[in-house]
Amino acid sequence: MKYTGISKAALNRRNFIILISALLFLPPLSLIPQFALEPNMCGQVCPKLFLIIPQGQDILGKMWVNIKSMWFGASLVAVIITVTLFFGRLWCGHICPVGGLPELIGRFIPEALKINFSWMNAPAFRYGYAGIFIFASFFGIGSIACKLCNFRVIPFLTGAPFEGAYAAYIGSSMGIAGLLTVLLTGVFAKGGRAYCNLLCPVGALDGMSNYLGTKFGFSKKLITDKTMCNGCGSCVSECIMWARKMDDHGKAETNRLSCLTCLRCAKVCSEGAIRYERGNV
Amino acid sequence: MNGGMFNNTAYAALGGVSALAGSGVISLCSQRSCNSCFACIGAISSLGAMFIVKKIIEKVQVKSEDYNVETKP
Repeated sequence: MKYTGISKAALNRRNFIILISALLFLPPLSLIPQFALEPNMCGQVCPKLFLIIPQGQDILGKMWVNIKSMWFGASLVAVIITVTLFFGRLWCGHICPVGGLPELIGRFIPEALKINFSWMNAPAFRYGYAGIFIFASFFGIGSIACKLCNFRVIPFLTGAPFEGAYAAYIGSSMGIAGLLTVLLTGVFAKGGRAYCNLLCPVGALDGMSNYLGTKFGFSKKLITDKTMCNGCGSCVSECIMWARKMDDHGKAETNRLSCLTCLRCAKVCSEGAIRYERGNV
Repeated sequence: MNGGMFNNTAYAALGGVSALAGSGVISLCSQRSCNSCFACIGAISSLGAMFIVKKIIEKVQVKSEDYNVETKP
């Protein structure tokens, strides 16, 4: 295997960061949400609800009220998007416990039992979903927030063994639907990141920020040297976000709206054709 | 990469429709509007069971094909 600068230790470090982040963000400890006096990632810590554009008059005023009531989540998303613009997808790819935990647990599930969503055009689906998430209230068709929300279900799942209220939620119809979402789009999905790839509005914003950051050269990106790529497809099957696809000439390329820069593709490339740096080839 | 404008628009529409359909079904569930919880859970479980059986059959078929290839002179 040729040297690509990506070591196994770097991949293990990423797994370790996800586990530490789970301890910091999720029950039973919930150390970071406690700064906002919340026991989990709902309420003031919610990173999604403030994105919704309300209906009626004084829309900006209502949005400002939402941002103030969810100040911690709104600040978190602002920091995430800014950091991504200049340093790549540190939150989605390396820190987010809501996306990371199902990915890690999914590695213990046999590949034969995994659902393969990689045939889908994930970026387009994600922005369609995010569009409805943001504008549904504005157009008077209700809100889809808090439904199919992994930021609610996963903290409740990790807290369920320690607190009766969490366990009761998981037993409710909303909880069962959420649990099914975590299983189908997380643990039992190819790569374990189908929720991030298809349903997460924060991931949609973060992906756009990453695309702009790499386009204007602010942040590093995966660069595939197509003269070295032998078209074996090992990076395509390794990619947890289905961001690696073969082009018309049988060479692999990266979709930067989806790529989390986990660097697993660079690790498995036998030709050393994938590098993580600024610039173009 | 993933096709042209039509492909993107179609998948974006699919994403939007999925959002509305998913949240609509869950709203019905949380309000217990249809009282068909067991039917719904049964249908989902059946689909899951069918999926697992299909995967197992595929795996057995691949293994037997490998065996045939290896044992042919």
